[in-house]
Amino acid sequence: MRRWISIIFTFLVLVVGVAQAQEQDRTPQAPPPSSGEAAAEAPKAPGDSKASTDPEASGKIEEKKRPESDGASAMEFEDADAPAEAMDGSEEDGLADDAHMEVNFKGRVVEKGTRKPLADLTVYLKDTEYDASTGEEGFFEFEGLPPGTYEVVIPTTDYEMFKTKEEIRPGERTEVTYYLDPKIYSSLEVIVRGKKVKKEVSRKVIRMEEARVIPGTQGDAVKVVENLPGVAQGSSMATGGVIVRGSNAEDTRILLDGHDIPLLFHFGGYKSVYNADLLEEVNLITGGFGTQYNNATGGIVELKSRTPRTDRWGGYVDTSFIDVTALAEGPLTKDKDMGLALGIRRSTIDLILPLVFSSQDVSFTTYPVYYDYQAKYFYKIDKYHSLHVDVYGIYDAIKLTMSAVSDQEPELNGQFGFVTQSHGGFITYKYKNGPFESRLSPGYSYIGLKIDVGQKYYLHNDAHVVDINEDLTFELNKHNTLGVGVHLNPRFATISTNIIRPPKEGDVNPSFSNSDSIVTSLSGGDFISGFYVNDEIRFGSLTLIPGVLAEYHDRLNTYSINPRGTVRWQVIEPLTLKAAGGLYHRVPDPDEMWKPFGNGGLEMERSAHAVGGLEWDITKVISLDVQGYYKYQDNLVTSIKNPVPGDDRIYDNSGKGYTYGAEILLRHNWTDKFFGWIAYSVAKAMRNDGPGTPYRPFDFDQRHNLIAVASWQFYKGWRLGGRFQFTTGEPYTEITGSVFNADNGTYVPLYDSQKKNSGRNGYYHQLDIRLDKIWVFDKWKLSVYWDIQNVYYHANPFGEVYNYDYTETRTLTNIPILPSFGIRADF
Amino acid sequence: MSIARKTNDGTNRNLHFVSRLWLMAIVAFAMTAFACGPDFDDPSMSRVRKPELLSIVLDPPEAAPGDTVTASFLLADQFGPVEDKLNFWLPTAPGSSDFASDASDSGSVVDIENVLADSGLDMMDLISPRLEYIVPREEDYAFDSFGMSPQMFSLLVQVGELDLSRPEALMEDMESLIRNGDVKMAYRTLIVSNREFRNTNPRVTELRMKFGGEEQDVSWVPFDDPSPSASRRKAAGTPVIVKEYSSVLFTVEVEDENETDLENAIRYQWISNAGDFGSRREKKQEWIAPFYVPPIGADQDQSKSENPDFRKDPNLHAAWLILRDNGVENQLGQSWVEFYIRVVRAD
Repeated sequence: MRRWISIIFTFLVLVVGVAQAQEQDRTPQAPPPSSGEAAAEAPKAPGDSKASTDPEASGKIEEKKRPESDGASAMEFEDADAPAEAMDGSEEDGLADDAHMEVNFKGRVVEKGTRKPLADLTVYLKDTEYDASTGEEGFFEFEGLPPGTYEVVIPTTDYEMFKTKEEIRPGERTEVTYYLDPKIYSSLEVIVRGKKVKKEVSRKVIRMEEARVIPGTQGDAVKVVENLPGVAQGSSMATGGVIVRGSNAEDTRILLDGHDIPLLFHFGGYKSVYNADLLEEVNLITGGFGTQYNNATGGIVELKSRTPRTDRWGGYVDTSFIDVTALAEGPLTKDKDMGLALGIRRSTIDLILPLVFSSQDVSFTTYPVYYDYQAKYFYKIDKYHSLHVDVYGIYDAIKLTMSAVSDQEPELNGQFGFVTQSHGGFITYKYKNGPFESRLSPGYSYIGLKIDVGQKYYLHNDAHVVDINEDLTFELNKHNTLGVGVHLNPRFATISTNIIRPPKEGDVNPSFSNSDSIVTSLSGGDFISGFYVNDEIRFGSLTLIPGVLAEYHDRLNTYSINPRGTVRWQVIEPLTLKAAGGLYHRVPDPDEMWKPFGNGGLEMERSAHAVGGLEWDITKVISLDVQGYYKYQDNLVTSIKNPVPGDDRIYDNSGKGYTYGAEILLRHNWTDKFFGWIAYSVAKAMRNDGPGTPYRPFDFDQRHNLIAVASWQFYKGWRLGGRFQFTTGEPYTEITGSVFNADNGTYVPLYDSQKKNSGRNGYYHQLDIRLDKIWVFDKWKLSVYWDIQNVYYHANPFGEVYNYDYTETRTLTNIPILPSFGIRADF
Repeated sequence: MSIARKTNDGTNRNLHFVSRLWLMAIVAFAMTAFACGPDFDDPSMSRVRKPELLSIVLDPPEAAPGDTVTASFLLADQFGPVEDKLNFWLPTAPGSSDFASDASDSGSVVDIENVLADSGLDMMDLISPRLEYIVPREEDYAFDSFGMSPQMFSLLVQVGELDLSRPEALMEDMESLIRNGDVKMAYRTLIVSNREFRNTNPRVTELRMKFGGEEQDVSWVPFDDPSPSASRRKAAGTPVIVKEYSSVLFTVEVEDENETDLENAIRYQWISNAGDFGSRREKKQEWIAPFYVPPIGADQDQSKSENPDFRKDPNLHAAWLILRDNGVENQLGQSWVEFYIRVVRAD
């Protein structure tokens, strides 16, 4: 761990060092860029602005009045926020040829709470003929104002009307900073983006402004997708992944800027490991995705990180009963072509738990604790080239001693130690020149896992994963954009275990006590590669994206060819019809391919998607998305139930499955005061476990899933949110009896293998509410939230539990009600 | 308590080898220690509340071809040990070790006729409480690299009311009888071995109790007592006497002939038909006595008898300590002792 921390800090020192060195290199070679140049080259980051003086403002003053100048230099401007070059530029560009003009009233207009410069505002001096406009950095100035008292007025649509009085005295310069009070309060700065060109038929986008205030998610970027149609309720907690349209969690890739996230959640499903405030948006593609996504048969969850801000330094500290998070970001150079963001989060559970937890049966050696950190570096090399460097890490640990013995798992008492960590990063080099765009992104991650369970079980794993992505696009002409890419993914791991074979979908009650334990120590690797080509063809309102993806896996020595395509037809302005389909493959799980856990001779799992639907922009802010789909799966890896003599294989590819359904998303986009959506999914997902076995419901076959989300700023600084979900129960296999295993004194459950998943849990429904309050001060903001999950105290079922000999069963329910509270300061 | 939460298959590609489900399962199992759990009527094995098979002892637990193995079982209910129920031994064919997975996954529990045909034993042998089993020839076994080959023994025991006039019908309906709880079914693994040093059963050498600051020896009945009925009554006549709702600390000493690592090898399971051994399984084990129940009639007060009928006396409780040496891989040694506790008024 120390070694990694050392490497990370070394890296950061290098980054900062490079930035400073480049700054020094640039300074003697050329004068500071003019405001126009700086503006042209400035990165388009959130809250970004062009490094500028206010030539327009000066120009307007010139028109109003040109008093004699005393030669006062702009360098005398003492506002710490004012960049020196900006003021230099102002002198050169605006006043150099009018040196006799005196600036006697100057200032800056910024947003209250965030200090974001406000450009293109007009500063009026009421009842006079004087006015000035703010530049990109929010600066304005008046020259030669006659002494007196003026009423300053700044009217704007997005901010409260600003009024104040200023006194101009003879021979003195009045310098001010005005903080404008926004009409809409958000704990995040609203990121304004152009409307995205939609290419994926089943893509849903969540803006992080929305994600932050959805009740019940604590702003968790990945868990928010569970509020969209096509995603199973509770899948992250149950599987550590995302269940999309009847596919296993492992069938869906979760990507951060195109790279697999090594560990998705703290403690296997509690909270995602990446700071949502460093994300720009979360994309969910539930089916029919394009050729650029390889090794996935279910869906894609794509986290898109944002560029660190380069306009100024800022950040926040957020604390709750669960964890504490801090983020700082800002420019590294005055040219604002480099930015750095540093985020860190630490759990607080380990600090609180000793105060509230007491048990004779459990004693903690290490209270549950988690950390994660992120570092993002951005460098806009020139107008064609840019570089992003991302570093991230996660560390979870818990160690305890259990004195109590489970009658069903008597060997699991004693020590329980769990340490997971992952550290990695990726570099993204972008080149864009006219119609050509290249994105090269190599990445590496280390995953370490150490689990010790009970008196003899353990699992120790070290993995090294490299992924290299190169994506190219050529806009050949106004009708064609060609996309080509290659993704390479070598992996290497060492593992030593004394543990049972992992349970598989459809398995009933995996048992340590009644399963063979695998004691082994092994190491090895594999290599997954994908190459794709597609062509986006546009004819008026019709867009076609045919393409093909070729994949190869060295360990299986097998390849796949995946033709895929998308059609979008904008029938009329607000209405678009769409369809997508194709073939999808993914490599089996490593344990299935590795002896002694699995066996060789497997093939890639396969899936075929067919999706059709429409998008209708009912109004400017209300849209409707309706989709129907069918998905067929085969080559699914499944356990061999009755192996023939001499056949030592554990798995084959004899499983099949299908899913069909429909999804509706009625959405009210983020506006001044309100956003929300209603999502409804109806689906049927069935599987079989090989020849001779009947089709049975998939483990997460949730037939109906209704979600309503809304958030309303009902009063300035106050926001109320609600989330309601209704889901039909998941299937489970009914236990019909048990047999006593006298070897170890436990019971083995009996069930009818022809009736797997024939039982169903009861309905799940829950209402969560959240109240946010923001206080905005001139230079910072303070926000608090109260989040209450399951307000009306419904005991939601999530599984069946049995007593020691399976003669009694009860329904296990979720936590009945969970209130939480958090406080956050943005600066 | 077991969590039957539906889980998803597979390994996290990003963890490279480690399944999310492994993690989820491991964490779930670990969390059972925290769980208060639903309110079951019969929540724990440490307290016998209904007819239960508590142990099957194979003596020796590891045998060479040609050796004789004695199989016996311990059946008990809320009143104490049960001796007069019909039982049926079903030794499976040599090398057959997949009973657990077959039984749980097939839905068909066991094919009795085939097992009988393969066993080479007659019916009378199979219905005896103690089965004398001669391990077949070495050629019948496929020994692994350690020189071992497992062989399954199944046991059916009547605990409910059965119509014994039609044994054929009982056999045909055995599956439903097991599901209904009228017949208890268990299995046990005999390790057939050609190793020089074979595992033996652990045995209790000393059992003591500490109550009210005083320590005393406890009389017990061993699993291989040649006259268990008489010995039980005798032991019940010299019970440990404790006050109601008091705490008693039992301590046991154990020997195991070829075992050098007793501390790691031995597992202790304490069971009683009253009171509470809690959820721990330790060498020094606390027991909380139940309340004293005033006897109704002379029949329920057996305190003056040297050979009491423990099943009638509500204050005379049976307890068992089951020893297993399976803390070490490939060891399935097992034995038990039975002892009695009389609860008296606190005043």
